[in-house]
Amino acid sequence: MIIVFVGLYGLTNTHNSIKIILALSVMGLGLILFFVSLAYVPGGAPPIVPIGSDISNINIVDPVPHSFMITLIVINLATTALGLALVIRLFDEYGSLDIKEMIRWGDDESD
Amino acid sequence: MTKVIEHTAIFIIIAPLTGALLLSVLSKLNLPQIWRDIIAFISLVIPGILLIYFIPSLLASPLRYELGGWPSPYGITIVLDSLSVTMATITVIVTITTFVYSLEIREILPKGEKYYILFLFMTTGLYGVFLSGDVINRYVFFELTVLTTYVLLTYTDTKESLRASYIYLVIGSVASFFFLIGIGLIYFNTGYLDFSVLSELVPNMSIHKRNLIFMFILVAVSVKSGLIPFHTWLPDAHVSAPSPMTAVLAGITVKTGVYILVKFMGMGFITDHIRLVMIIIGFITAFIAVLVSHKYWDLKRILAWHTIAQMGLIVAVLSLWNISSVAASIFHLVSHAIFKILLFLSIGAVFYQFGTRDIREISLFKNSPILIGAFLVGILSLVGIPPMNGFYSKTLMLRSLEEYLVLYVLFIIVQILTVSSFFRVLYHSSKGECSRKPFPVSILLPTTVLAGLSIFIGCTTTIWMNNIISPSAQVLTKGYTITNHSLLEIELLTSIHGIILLLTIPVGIGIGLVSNKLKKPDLSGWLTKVDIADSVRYIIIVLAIYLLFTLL
Repeated sequence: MIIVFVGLYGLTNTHNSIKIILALSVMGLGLILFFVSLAYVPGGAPPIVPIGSDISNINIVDPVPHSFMITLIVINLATTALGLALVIRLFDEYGSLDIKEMIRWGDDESD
Repeated sequence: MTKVIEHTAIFIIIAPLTGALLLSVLSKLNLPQIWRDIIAFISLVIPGILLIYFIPSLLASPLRYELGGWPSPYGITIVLDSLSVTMATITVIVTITTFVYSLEIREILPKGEKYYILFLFMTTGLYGVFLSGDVINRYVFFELTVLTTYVLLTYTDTKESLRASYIYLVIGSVASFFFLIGIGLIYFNTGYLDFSVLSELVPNMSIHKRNLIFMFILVAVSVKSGLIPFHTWLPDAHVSAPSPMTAVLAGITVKTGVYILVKFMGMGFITDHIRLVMIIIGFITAFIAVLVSHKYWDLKRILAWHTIAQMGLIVAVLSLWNISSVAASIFHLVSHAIFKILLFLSIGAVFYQFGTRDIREISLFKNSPILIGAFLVGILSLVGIPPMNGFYSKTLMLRSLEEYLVLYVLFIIVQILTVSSFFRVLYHSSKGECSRKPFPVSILLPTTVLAGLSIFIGCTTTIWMNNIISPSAQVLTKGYTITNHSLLEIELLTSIHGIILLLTIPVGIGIGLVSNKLKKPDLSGWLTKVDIADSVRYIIIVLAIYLLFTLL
């Protein structure tokens, strides 16, 4: 959870567009750790048991958060990749990585 | 054959997905363009046919399809109830019309075939959001939708569109993470993710927990729906995107946020604190956005601010959470989707013809008569003139506010300002001088169909309300009903609310005339040009305020 807020802090305190994307990535990683640590079962067994076996006294790990986190890793990867690709195009167009400069650019052009 | 029919529900989502994958494979083969058009078109039409096939059986009872045969709380389900099917039907209408529309401007888009592929992926995501029966799949499909939207926004390939897409990506991802925190808290508190199971478990949670979880979700959803102060991405994105994408964005993608909100509220997260927060946010949004829309000359930007305003009204009315208010806001969601798409598509046509969107330079009334008609239907619908659907949905919203005098007055003020804003548009756009260019059919057809649909839905309001929307509102609000209006006789046109709504129009026109003379103060510097860091700070500050407010 702390890592999520580190990411948030990063978002609020940088104007470099690459660093912003990386801060997002850090937020995502923090979330993954948050989910996985909440789903931690001390001494848990893998949730694969033969059909019909007695499961009442096995401490089974809940597979849902983990499987969801795998999905989240993929989504996070896609977002980061897309963000960095956009940054490349932005750098081509604006000649700068500073998001403040990009926003200032619009002031001169539009009404 | 019975096997296939049994599994029909999933094909609504699979069809556009297959189309997208097929097109991306076939793009190596240098097929003639017409084949690609046909493949894309078929994969957009199939869900529509399937939905029509389902509708008769839906009126009796909602349909649940369990993927892979796993039973409900453990497996993945697709739920076809009247609300989700309504939204999916809107998606069908939106995607087909915008697809036909984008056939023509395809030449000016670079990398045209990838546009189709992304468009189909986005459609898949939209169906997924509306139809899936559990929280996580909804999240995943939502990410699919927004990720493709980020790319589609950049298709005009200008500096502005890249910047808008980048800002949307960052703010949208932060919102997604908040949504995920919300989902995580729900899961670890209840152990389930399925909506139907959760709606039994959530009301048993303590009020603080419910407030806390819902605040995360509300922040996420309000970013997606562009409520102030989370709206910063929306006007830029709307303005710089290609016209069909703007239409989809304003018509459907923004609505998914509210749809998710409705679903979560239906789970029993609604408490008095949340209700108050939503009313405040909704009306602040509506009020500021309508005021700001007076400042601009760019048609698309004006309409983008109106989208924000209408979303604010919808959320505010929704938060009352009784049958009539929920039904009214869902109906306004539907009708707003249709007329906003109509407006954005006609603006695209205006841009196609005049090469500018500045209302001082175009001359709307020297246009093709069909297009003028369509554009006027859109505007009159947003303003609220009787045969159009906007009038009926706004009257219903007003009626649901009748017990809350302050809100009623606020709604009317917002309505008057809306009228004056559109009067300003018409007033200025009737003056310009421009040459005209003939239109292709693929631009005229979708706008005409949408205009017809707008009037048709308006004229048949009673049927929709009584048979589809009110029952689903009744299901959603179970246990939270405060007032129950008789839903049978809707003679809206002659009701007091309808007349009040009509009275706002001359007042609005008057204000519009006066305000044309006045020099307008620049009231929106901090609202319109916002840095990413600032937006994220807003999100954090507002979240902190919410949390303090709800936990006290």
